[in-house]
Amino acid sequence: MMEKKNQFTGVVSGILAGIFVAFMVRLNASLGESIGILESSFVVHLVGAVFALPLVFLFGKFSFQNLKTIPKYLFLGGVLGILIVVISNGAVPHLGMVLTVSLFLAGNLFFGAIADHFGFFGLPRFPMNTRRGVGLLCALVGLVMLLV
Amino acid sequence: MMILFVMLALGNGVLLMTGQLINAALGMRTSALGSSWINHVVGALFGGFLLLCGLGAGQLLFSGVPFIYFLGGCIGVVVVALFNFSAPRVGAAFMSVLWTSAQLLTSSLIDHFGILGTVPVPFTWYRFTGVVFLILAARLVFSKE
Repeated sequence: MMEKKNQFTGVVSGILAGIFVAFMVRLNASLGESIGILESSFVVHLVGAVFALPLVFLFGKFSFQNLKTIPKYLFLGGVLGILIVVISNGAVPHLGMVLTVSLFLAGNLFFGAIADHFGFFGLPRFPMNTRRGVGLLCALVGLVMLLV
Repeated sequence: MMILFVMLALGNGVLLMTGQLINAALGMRTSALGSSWINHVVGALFGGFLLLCGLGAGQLLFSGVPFIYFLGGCIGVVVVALFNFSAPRVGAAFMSVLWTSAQLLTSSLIDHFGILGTVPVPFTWYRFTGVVFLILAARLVFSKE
C-alpha cells in the first residue's frame, strides 16, 4: 500500500516540477524583456539565493567546514547558471516557449547520449543503442515539425 | 537571426546537462538544497561581477515591472525540492520523462494562450505531433538499458 502511495506522490511531484519549470522559464524571460537578459539572470540567482538561505539551514544538512574539502570546479555550476538563464531569456522572445524548450531538450538528449557513449566526466559508459538512436531521430522529427 | 537563436538554444541544452551533472556531484557532498543554494550564490556573485564590468545592456530599474516576474528564482528552488522528492520514488529516468513532458505541454499552453507576455503561437495539430515526438524521444533516450 505504501508503495502505491509513494509512486503516486512521486509521479505527481514530477509532473508538478515540469509545470513549474515551464512557468519559471516564462517568468525569467519576461523579466529579461523588462530589465535586460544579464540583469534578469543576476536577479533570478540573487532571489533564489536569498529565498533558499533559510530553507538550507532548516532542511539541508549543511556545514561550512565541509565546503573547504570540496574540489573547486564543483562551484562552477553558478557560472553556468548565469549563462544558461541569459541564453534562455534571449531565445524565448524570439522562438517562443515550446521551440526554445524543445531545443533545450534536444541538446540535452544528444549531448547526454554522446557523453554516455564515451563516458565523459568520468561517468560509466553507456554505449549508444538502437533504442536511443530511434529516440534521437524522434527528437529531430519533433524539432522539424516545430520549426516549420 | 532565427538560426542563431536555434543554435544557442541547442547549446544551452548542452550547458543544462553539464550544469545538472556538476550540481548533482556537489549535491552528493552537501545536500541537494545546499548545492542549489551554492549555485545561486555563485551565480549571483558572478552575474553581479559581469554587471559591474558594464556588460549589461538593460537597467536594474524595477518600477513598473510586474512583481510576479521576480518569482522565477523562488520557483527554481522549489523545483529542486520537487525533483528530490520525486526521483527516489519513481527513479531518476522516469522522473526526467515526467517533468520534461509536463514542461513541453505546459509550454504549449503558455504559447497558445499568450500567457505572461508571450506572443501567442496557436497549438496546431502539427505542433502537437511535434511535441509528442519529443516526449517519445525523452522516453526512449532517458531510460538507460
